[in-house]
Amino acid sequence: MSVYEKYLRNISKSKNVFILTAENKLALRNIPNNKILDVGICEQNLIGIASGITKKGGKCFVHALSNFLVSRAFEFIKIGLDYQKNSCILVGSMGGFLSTFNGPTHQSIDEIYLIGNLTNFDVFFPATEYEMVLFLKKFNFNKSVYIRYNHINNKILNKVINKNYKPNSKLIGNGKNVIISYGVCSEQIFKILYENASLKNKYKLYNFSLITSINKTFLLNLSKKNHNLLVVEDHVNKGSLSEKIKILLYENKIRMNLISKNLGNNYFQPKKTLDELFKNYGITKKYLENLNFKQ
Amino acid sequence: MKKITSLKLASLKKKSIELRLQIIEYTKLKGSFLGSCFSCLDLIIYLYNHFLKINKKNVSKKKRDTFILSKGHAAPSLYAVLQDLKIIDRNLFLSDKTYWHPEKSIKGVDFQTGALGHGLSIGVGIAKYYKINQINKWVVVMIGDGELNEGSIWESFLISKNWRLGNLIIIIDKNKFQANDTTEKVLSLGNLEKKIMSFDLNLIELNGHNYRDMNKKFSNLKKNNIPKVIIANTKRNFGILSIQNKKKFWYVDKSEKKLEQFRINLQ
Repeated sequence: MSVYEKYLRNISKSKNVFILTAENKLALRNIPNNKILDVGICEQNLIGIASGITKKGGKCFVHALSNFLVSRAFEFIKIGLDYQKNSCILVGSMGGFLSTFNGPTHQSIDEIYLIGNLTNFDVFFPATEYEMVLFLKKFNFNKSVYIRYNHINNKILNKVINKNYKPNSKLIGNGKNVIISYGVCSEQIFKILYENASLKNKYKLYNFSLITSINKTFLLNLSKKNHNLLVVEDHVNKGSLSEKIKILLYENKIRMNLISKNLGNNYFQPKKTLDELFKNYGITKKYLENLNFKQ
Repeated sequence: MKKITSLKLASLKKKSIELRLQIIEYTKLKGSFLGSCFSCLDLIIYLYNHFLKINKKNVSKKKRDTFILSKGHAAPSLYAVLQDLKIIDRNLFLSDKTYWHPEKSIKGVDFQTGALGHGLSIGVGIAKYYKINQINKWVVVMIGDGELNEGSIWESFLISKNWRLGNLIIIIDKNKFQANDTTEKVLSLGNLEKKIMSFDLNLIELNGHNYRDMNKKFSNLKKNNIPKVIIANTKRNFGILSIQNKKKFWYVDKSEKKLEQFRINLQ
């Protein structure tokens, strides 16, 4: 049983907690069926029903494949949850690179643009499943949150995250060049840096999982000692974290050399495994060794 | 269920006229989707005055009977009833805050609706919440027959049946029109009764302008394990003979010259 399933099993003992899904059990394989409200493949109703339950005081954990949860049901999310301030937790599976071999119809690569622009929503892309649970334990339902469910269980990374967990903190490295990433990209970059002492001295990696909390203060503090910034993400450019950072740097006249590595305006080329996919994306040990910000 | 006395019947009929006049007054100030307002007004009057337990005292409580006007463009009818029950102030009813679709900040409006196809799924969620928590309350959702164009409504039919939500009442305001034309011409529903029955839902038909008939049918409803679908036969712009049951005057602008000539006749 995964850490998230353990967490869900525990909290769902309360009659006020509702686990909903649109026939997607990627994050719920070990949750008893009688604890799950499965609406079938009806994502709009999934959100509408969660809105109704939330309105009466229930706490909802809503599951579906990311693409269908966010894109198909978007108007329901906007009106039923965001506008009405009905706070609940949306858990999207197979978002970004986690979709691996599905192809474009299943790729969800624009959630920050869609959900991140809503007023009553946070967007959280954890680097591991363990990070997701730590986040949820502190979640107070003041706002809704969309989470890109990440099943990855990297024990070494979990140990790092474990230390006084706070979203958006540094994971590894002491170099003067900063990498900001989130979700599986954070985990993949962590693995590269962890295995290469020279890269740890060249870079420091921030896991910016609570994406919607990027702000001027964070960037100002960062820019005091660091001038070079690489942002790596599995998201289209429109609405991405790197776009948000660019705007903040420009508006606040903060000087940093920024390199953005995102999907631009493209779907990504599917690969059988996440490792292959990430390698194909171009973020490798060699890339990081040779990266020259001044160019 | 309370019996409906002759006195009560007379009072409801009186409200039918009074509230129609108030909605015309509203329309003179702001315009409205008058046709839709007048087709469902009598149903809303009945629900709030005789069936649902929603009043000034309990309106702010979460766990009470719940009404969702999914066909949100009939909001002035809901507002007119809320102000008649003194849940909202008459000045508010006529102010800029009560626009064409229900606004959540208005007391008595549980959900912001207007984007068609949303309200029923929300009602399904509330009914499920009540069922699980053994809260013995009704959830009533009113949809338009034009709203049946939305696929989400049919999904909700399936889910409500699957979850055996006997505390859910779905009222279809069947005025046989949608925005620009008849439902038959825009997207024919065919044999609606047969379609609803094929979902194994509890189907009831009534005259949506006849309080005696409404009461007879609502009185028999029980919170068993089958969701109820009420097809309420109504007329667009009911009560204004010159425009009743016609394609025109779905929306009536505040500048409409005929507004001054509209007279209420409930025959």
